[in-house]
Amino acid sequence: MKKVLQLALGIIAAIGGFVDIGELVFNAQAGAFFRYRLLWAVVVGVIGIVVFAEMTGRVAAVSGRPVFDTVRMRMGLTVGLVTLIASLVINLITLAAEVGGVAVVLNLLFDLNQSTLILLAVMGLVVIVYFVPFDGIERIFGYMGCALLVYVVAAVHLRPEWHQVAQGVVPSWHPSALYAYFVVGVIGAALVPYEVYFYSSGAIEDSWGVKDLNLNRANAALGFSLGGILSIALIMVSAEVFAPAQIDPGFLGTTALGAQRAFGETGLLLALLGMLFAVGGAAVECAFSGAYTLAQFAGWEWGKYRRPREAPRFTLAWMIFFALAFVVVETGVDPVLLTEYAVIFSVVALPLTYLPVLLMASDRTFMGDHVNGVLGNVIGWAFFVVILVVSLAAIPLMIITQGGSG
Amino acid sequence: MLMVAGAVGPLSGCGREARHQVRLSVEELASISAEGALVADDLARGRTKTTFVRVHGSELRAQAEHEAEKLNDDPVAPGLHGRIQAAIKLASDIGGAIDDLRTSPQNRAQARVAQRKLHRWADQARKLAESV
Repeated sequence: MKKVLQLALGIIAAIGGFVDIGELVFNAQAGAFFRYRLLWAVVVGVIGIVVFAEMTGRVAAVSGRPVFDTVRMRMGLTVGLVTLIASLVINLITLAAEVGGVAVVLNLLFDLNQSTLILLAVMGLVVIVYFVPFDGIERIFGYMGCALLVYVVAAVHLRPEWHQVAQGVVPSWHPSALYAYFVVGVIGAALVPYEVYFYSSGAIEDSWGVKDLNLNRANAALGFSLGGILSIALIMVSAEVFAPAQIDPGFLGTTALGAQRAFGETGLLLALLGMLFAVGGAAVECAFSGAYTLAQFAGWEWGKYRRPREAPRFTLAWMIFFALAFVVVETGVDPVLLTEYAVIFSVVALPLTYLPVLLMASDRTFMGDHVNGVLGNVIGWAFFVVILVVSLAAIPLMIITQGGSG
Repeated sequence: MLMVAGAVGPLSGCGREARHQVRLSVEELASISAEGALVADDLARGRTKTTFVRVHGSELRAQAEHEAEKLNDDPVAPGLHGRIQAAIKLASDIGGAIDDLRTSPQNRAQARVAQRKLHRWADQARKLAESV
């Protein structure tokens, strides 16, 4: 019974923790521009993150090694260093976008000075991360982020044309660069590397071992899949509210407006509350991911389960990440624009993280009986090809479409 | 002949690019106006929050102003001048109506009028974008 409860709580946290500012931006725009025609890209992205997260969780549980350890071990110091630098830069851009997003949502709720809110957002997140234990952090942000389920209810309430929804889940093509750009963006938003760094390091934090492999499988499969339903709901609401009026959702406020159109002020408040915690939780994951990668690469003591004085450089690292993100956002840069860059550059760097995990999970000498099966390897390599294609197309498409503006 | 083609080619390419940018800006104005109309509609029906109208309205107004500045500053073909002036006027009208919503969000009657105007301006902006 305790196991079932643990699993249920983990899954609820994963649902609320799945959505970040990348999903809120790309999915809303995807629905507004292409209605349901990009739903299949969410499905592809979710299957990808399930496969990837399950492998990283399994490698961590069996070997006690998180993703970045694996990268360095399999790819060598030089490639490891390149991956480290790319990851740190992308993490910082993503963190700045998430912190900016938290400030924007607070502003929509309370209408205060934006600079003050950025400072309050960073201070609030640092205090929570410093004082609350690891599983508490996961639960606070995960559970409260479930307020975003208002979009699932709104998607049904707005009476979509279900046959078009079903058609949208089937992969299709549209001959335009903008469509291709959003395919990359929607898949990329689901597959951001910081989520797997956090997931695999979290497995170590939670002391997972071989006995937890079923928990890992269930968490990855159910948590991310159900989280993907939120992404689908965001697209559906956008398709029903913004596409008919030809609105380009370029602000987080526009995404919140979708829930307001369905349920008035209650819908708006639930959407903003869900966004606040989902984006805030993603900010924490980003800061931790940055600190995890740095500490794991440098061989420092790391982990939230250790007291700050037992892992001082790790603690200092995540604090510095928050401080740097604060400086970036205080320059006045648009968080939505930052998000688009963060997602696209994440996609470019994705193969560097994915490949070593795949190689490690397929290595019997390392994984023993828990090595990838034939089916696991086929799916794993098929996704590697998808990731490679998407990563090669990302930058050219961003240039051709001027960052998705047309 | 080749020299003339060489000189005109890039210029016409540049003209196409400028025209495309104008079209994007006017489409963005249509989007802002349509979104403003939705906000006004919810305001008129008492289905929103004052802080949301003020803050999101401010973002929309700033974006309309930004598009107007871009339209004003970008060099374009003389044939487009009239349409650009019309778009700048639309941007000013749209920004003004959204500003009115922000100033007195409790005024539902004014929100109803603004909703109709913003809806109409969104249509006008769309037609204008198609003509560019």
